[in-house]
Amino acid sequence: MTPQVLDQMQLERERGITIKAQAVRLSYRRPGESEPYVMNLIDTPGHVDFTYEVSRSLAACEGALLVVDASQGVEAQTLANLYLALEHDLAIIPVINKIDLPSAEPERVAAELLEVGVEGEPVLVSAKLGLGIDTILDAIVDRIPPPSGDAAAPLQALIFDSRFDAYKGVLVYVRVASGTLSASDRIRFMQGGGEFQVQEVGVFRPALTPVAELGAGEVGYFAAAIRDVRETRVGDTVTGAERPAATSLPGYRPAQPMVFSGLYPVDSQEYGRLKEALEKLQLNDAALVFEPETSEALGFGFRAGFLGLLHLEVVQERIEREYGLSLITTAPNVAIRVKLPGGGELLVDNPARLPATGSIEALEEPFVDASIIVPSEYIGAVMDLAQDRRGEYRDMTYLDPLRVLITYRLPLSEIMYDFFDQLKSRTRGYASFDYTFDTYRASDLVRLDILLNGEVVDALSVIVHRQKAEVRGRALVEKLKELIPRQMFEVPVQAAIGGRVIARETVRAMRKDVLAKCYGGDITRKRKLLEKQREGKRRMKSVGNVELPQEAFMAILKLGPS
Amino acid sequence: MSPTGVYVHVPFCVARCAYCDFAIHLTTDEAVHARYYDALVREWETRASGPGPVVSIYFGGGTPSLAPPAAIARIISAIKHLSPVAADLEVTLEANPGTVTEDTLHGYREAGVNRLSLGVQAADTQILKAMNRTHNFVQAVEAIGWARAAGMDNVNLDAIYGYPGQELADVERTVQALLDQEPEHLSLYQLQVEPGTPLARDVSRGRAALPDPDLTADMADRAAELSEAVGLRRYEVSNFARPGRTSRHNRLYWNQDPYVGLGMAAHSFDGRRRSWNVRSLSGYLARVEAGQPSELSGETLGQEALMSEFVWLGLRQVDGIAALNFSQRFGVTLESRFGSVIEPLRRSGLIAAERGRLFLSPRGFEVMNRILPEFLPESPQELS
Repeated sequence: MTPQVLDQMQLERERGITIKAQAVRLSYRRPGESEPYVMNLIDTPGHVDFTYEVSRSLAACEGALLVVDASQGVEAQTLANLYLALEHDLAIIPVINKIDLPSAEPERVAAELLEVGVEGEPVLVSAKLGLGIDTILDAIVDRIPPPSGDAAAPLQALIFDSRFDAYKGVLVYVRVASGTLSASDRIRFMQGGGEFQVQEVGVFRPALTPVAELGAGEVGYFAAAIRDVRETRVGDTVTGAERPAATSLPGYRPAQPMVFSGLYPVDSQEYGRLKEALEKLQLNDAALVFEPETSEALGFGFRAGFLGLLHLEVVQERIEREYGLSLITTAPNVAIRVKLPGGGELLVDNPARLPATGSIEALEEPFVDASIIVPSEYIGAVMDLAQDRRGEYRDMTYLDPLRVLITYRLPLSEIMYDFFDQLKSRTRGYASFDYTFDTYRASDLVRLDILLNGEVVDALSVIVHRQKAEVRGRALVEKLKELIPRQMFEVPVQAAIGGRVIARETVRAMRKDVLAKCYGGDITRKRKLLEKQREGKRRMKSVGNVELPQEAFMAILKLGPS
Repeated sequence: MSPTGVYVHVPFCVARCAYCDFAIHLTTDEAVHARYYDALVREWETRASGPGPVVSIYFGGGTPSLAPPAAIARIISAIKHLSPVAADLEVTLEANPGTVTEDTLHGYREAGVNRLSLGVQAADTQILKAMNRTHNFVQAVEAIGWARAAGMDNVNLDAIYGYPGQELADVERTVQALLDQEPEHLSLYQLQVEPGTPLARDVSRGRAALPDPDLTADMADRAAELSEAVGLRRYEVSNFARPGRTSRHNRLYWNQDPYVGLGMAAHSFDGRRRSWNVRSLSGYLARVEAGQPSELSGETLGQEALMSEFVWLGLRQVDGIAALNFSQRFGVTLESRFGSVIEPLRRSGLIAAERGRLFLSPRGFEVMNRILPEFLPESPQELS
């Protein structure tokens, strides 16, 4: 069997992570019983950026397997996902995996699970060795209630995902709550309003496998020659066009983008192709939002919203790989809420668009509730870091005598970049970390502008806390000096706040750039070197008369601890 | 009829220099050498029907001075036998100190060699060792003396600067020591680290560190200053000469004139088509001895490619290109074809157009790699 059978995206396989939830159906015959049990499982991502995927999946289920590593124990992610499952009122089966590891401590982990409120006997397994799999299947049969829907009632099916298929149109992933859905039905989207003739109904084994119908409680997909994925809003309820249900199922809150970044083609001719790529990615990624924007420095591009930095990276990498586009991505930022003097307010998702100081009453930025689980010897290190990141201490709970759960309220902008890396390095890799959005709160923020050759480059502006502005500004110009290759002319790099220059460095002019030798008449080789030189230049973005490499726009991510 | 050059590649070496990625062959087997010289003559016999008179013959390497004077004489006379040659024919032979004697230099001169290009590279023994050169500076001085005695009145000396471990003072010393020998011509090459060479490996493993680019730039400036002070005028990126002693052969390359390349890995140009021979010794011998073409591959340049190349090759020379020469060759004016590229460069002070010539300004000359690509055709090379 292929390892990572459900992680089908190349990126998922390379990185060993799950980005997209995957559904699978299997049937299990219990020894001594004649009728098989049909189970519908959904494998969900664990990373905080994809919490939205998880919560959608949980709404389509009766129960959840909460998988904990036998040597790592309960992690911050475990708690985040546990709370999601509890919100949906699901039956929870704790599973302790990797019991084959020499460092496994199932008893300690079982105690931790109890401490965080997970009741029920944990199932001990080793997925690698296939140990305990029957026990899990039995536990599912015994502990998770069967679906309760009425097959005779009008159709109600919850859309939990959708995907575009070039041949079949949109594939709509549904969980049927009541009634049945079969290949000859005419259906209606209760919120979207569209009506379509179903052409195929099927289940995931995990490959798409057509079946005659999906009954109440079943999970599967249908295709109905739907061309536009926007017809099929995730969270909408599918019902029969002939015999519609009276009410729709409870839906989802739409995904909230938290992190914004400008996406620009290096070659401005590629704007149309970038738009096309974003539209196609959006078909399978409801959390990706974007709208056109213009930058003085970069020309035409898009401001895109993401669930977090990993989500941004995934989108960026897929655009570059799957569509062969070379991208400039501006430094990610949070959306700032601007209170205007007249009483109105404004949400600014691009630092360059922050109004002048005179037209600002107050600024607010998003805060998160962060949970950090760490061996107790690192409490001090964690507190130092959180303090430095403008964290507000909330609470501390011992999970066992040696491990502690610390909660902080932190500005999202402070944890967005390198917080987790810092946390790991200060706790020798032992810390786990998760967060949920809290609310917008007032902060003393300023815009830090970068000037090249005396001109503000809008795509390099960032919003930072006033107390950190000078340090950041200095670090940023130093980093830019490193990242910007020498040009034919000297290039001053400055950082400024409200027109006041706070730091300056100079990229010195290149002294010489020549090809010394002609290889015995090998002119072709020389021409190829010149062509290569030109290609190198094309990968740069010309801003004013300064050629900037892609990395320059991400310089702020590469600053050391501040 | 365009003047034509003949390049003759002599691939043999006694050791590979640390920076070298040329097509060379390390063998001292005289039978192999003899077969190769036979093959060169045979190749010439099948390709001699070139266009204009031969104005230059250039024995390049490898180490041509490993070839016995008789072999050189045979090749020169074969060339003269099948092709008209100019009265002022230039015949250059590259030589390494330590591989020549008073006798062999006499022999080369007798054979018709009238220009000697000696690979001195450095005056400093440590640097020569690091380069894996097999000679010292004393041997170089000795060779120059023998060459003069043999009647060579046109001597070029080669040196490399920017080598790991070199300081500004080392380069000054080397250049001064070369100038003390009163050469007619000087080639001062900035080191290029070519992938796959022993030097490239040393650099990537941190066993050798290239000088800072600013220091290398200082070396270049200082070397040029010293040379020009004694009347050796720079006429190309890396080349300096007394009046009337520029390299006829290299100017053929830079002026887009035709040349026939004989020997393994040699390159040829017939005015439209650039081609190159098989790169290995065994492959070359097998083909020529079987009467097959020695060419491995080639490309025919379209009109756009030719125009572009004419400009970027020509601009490597201090005097640049003559606008009249361009319009005579291509039937369009330089202005109409490249005006939109030239104008912004002129305004930035990187290029100048005066007295019918287009040439790089001193600053433009220093950063020509940034300027020349502007003259390349928009799309990658059109080939046929």
